[in-house]
Amino acid sequence: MNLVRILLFLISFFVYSQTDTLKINKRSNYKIKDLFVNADIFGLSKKIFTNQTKISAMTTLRFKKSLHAVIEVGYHSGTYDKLNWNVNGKGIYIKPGVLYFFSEDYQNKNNGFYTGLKLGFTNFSQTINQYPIYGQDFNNQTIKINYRSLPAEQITVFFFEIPLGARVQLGNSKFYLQSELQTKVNISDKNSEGIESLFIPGVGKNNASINFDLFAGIGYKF
Amino acid sequence: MRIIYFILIFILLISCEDSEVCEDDYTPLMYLEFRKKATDSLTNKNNYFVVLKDVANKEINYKIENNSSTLKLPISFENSTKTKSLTLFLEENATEDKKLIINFEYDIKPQYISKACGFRYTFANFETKINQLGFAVDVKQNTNKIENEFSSHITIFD
Repeated sequence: MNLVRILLFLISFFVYSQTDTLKINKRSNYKIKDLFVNADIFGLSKKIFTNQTKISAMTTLRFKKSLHAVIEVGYHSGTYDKLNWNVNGKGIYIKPGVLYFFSEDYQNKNNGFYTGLKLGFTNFSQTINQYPIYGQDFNNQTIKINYRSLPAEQITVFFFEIPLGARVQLGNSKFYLQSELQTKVNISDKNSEGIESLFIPGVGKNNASINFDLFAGIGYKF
Repeated sequence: MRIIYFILIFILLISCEDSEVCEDDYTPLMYLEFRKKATDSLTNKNNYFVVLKDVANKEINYKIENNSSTLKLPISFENSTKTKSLTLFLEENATEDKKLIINFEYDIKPQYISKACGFRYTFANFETKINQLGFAVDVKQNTNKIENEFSSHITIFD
């Protein structure tokens, strides 16, 4: 339900900005320029090396000198299997934001290094297959007393992300290589019982207060 | 430009993995204290012999040498949700009539602590019933829930 609201908000936001662009067109002959669509090849490869499935794409559009609007969407599923926990998470995520190219190639302004800020939303299904219960034995040693599980639950998580990336043209083609390191900080990641979410679509395994991921793939310039 | 580098280095520095060691907040132990009935003062015992029986009549026998006036016992074992009976005596060859036998019941409640600490149990509706006093002259239950070990749950007078 929350996700539907978020999507409606984003759609209305884009429709609004679209009409706004049309107005600008009349006045200043603004043309859509440097529109890119990127597919995350690294995300796809996670299927081979880890227990995660990640399908994601990103589109960027230059709207001011070195500033690009960005939106990343994806589906991400996986398992957190550490510290005697076994938690599944699966769902879609969406990350709108802004990129700032702090270093641009003077011959092709689309080559360069950038950073920025994205805000992430995900509404996903989480199943706690196993959680540990700890106690002590007669020697005051910590022991696992038992394992239990919890049924699937729908959770909404908000996070923000600071990307640090680079984009470079492949020869003289319309294709570009793009790679970015994503630093993620969760804003809210608790379920209804106050339990921290351990696998979050768009974030991955929630190992620490700050998590990292990589988006690396091929982009096409329209 | 420099600010961006500083921010990134700062983030990398503070982003070490969360502690994966849990240091507190385990399932509480059952806390017994021993007092002299006449003076109401704590009294030390050299050895405690403990037999805990769970629902499935699985026995755990234990000898605790601590020369102390308090005793803390784990009452929730692997694959066991309720412990039913505690037998306590002070000498290894104590006769049956010198053994204190307390039956008890509780409802288990799992409580989330953190990722590293997982869950712990707390015990609600804690109820004791004296089966046999043995060496003791009186037994007092101090609480009807076991959530921590700050104060004794059961006082045994002799």
